[in-house]
Amino acid sequence: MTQPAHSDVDPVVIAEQRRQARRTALLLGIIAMCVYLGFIVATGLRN
Amino acid sequence: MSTTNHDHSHAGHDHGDHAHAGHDDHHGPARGLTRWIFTTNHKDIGTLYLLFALVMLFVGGAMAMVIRLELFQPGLQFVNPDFFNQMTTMHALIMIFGMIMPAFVGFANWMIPLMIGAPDMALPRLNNWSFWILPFASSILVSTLFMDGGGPAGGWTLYPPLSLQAGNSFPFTIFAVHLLGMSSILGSINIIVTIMNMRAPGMTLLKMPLFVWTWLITAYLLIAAMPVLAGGVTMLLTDQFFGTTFFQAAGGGDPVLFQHIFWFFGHPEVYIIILPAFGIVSQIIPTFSRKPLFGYAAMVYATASIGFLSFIVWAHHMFTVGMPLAGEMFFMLSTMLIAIPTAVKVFNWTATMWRGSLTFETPMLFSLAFLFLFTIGGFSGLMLAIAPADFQYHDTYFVVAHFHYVLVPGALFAAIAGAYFWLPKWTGHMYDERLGKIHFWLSAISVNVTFFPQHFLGLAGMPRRIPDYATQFADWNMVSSIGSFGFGLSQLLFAYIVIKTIRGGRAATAQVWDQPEGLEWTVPSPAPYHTFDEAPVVK
Repeated sequence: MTQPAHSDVDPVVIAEQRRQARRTALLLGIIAMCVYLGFIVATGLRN
Repeated sequence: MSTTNHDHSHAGHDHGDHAHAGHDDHHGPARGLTRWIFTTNHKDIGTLYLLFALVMLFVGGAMAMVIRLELFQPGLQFVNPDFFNQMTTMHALIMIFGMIMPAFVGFANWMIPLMIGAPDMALPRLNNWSFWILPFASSILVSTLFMDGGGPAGGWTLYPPLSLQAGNSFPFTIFAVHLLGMSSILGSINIIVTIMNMRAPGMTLLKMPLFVWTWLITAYLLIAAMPVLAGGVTMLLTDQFFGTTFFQAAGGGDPVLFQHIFWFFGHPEVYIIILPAFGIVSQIIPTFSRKPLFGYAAMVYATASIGFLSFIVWAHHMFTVGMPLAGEMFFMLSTMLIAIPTAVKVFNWTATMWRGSLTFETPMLFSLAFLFLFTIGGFSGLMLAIAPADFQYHDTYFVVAHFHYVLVPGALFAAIAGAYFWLPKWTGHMYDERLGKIHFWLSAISVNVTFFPQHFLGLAGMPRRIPDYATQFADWNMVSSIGSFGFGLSQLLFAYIVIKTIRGGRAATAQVWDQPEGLEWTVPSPAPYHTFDEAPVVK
């Protein structure tokens, strides 16, 4: 890389980027919760 | 690469819609305390993380001084055994969750948006929350020292049934660990979505700086590992207060199962701490060698391999609990496998320096010390990976020496190197190079005087986590304690250098160093409050 140049970024693109970011964050949060609860349930079932 | 200074004026561009699409208006920081409490700016939050980590370095460091003071001579000198155990437990918890992890999250906050050409983190308000959980969680943790029965004293691993015998501090410790974990998970989610969604046009994954790569992998490790710890300590809590018997043999539970759960988190945690350190060193060595990083793609794949392997080696921490032979063989060999991608990294850093135009400014000195001393920690790790040998080393000072070599001249030296490397970009001032070099030599000598003798103590059979010891261990303990006092004092010099640089000094240029690589060097020093409002295009 790289020679930084400038590009105007469409606000619609930015808004879509942020929507996508929120969706991914929610998915990752759900995964973390599933791991958390999954380990507790699995340990309980093992006993 | 060649870089040009970024022009923020960009005449004729209408910022209005852009600002509304973003999270933040285009203005400078708020005044006074509200700036820091309500900030959503990645640079402010990065600064908060880093300053918080610096304060916690001295809180955890003070506990280390108590430990080494007590161990200066055999016999009980200064503290009672229970308080000594509280010190070892709290020192570890604070240094891991309160100091080194927040320090690296601080680097991530400051540098990732600058490195990928993003205006800020993807979720700035979540970012604010991730930080502000930390001081409260840490305060809860430290406050346990002042409760009836004192703080947690069963070791940072919180093994039951010992940890369940704690006094009033127990639920507060568990609550603090949950909060610290939440902070880390939220920070990690933010880092992942920032890297995946906010990269400047042209910044493909395999053009990202290594520091960004190491953090991306670290963040995934955190999301996979932290909930496991949270699950484990939640079960401890219900065992203590709600009548469950997850880990209580009397009710059909299994205390060893907690160890499996803990180390399923605990070993990835080691790499959560060291991978960002690898990333920082991978930025610094090429800069001061004036060469591109050797084997960039191999470095990325090695980092990913280490991340994967970190999840299949956990039981090497517990060879002595009594596992089937096949289990011991598996965990022994999988642990040894980690040496391969780690060696790829060490050889690539060395090859980067080969025939480079090397100069030895303070960040480079700390990075070189990292390279040598982390490798020593890696080799002692290989010794511990050998299951039959581990039966001898287990729970001795050899283990203490091993992980301190990985974490202090490893992770902490990399963090210090990163601080010197980027301080001019953050503050707009060059640090005092002469004082920086004095800090380096004092730290490098004293860290070895502290931890190298602990190898000898461990091999001679001195157990860890004891306030008193047999007289045959006296000499090396005294040497180790003297080294630790020197190391502790040296870090006061570091704090002085940081404060001095924040307050003034020679003005730093945008590039700071000689032809450094990366977008962060294209913005002025100090980096403006808002950067890359218009995304740069990376060719």
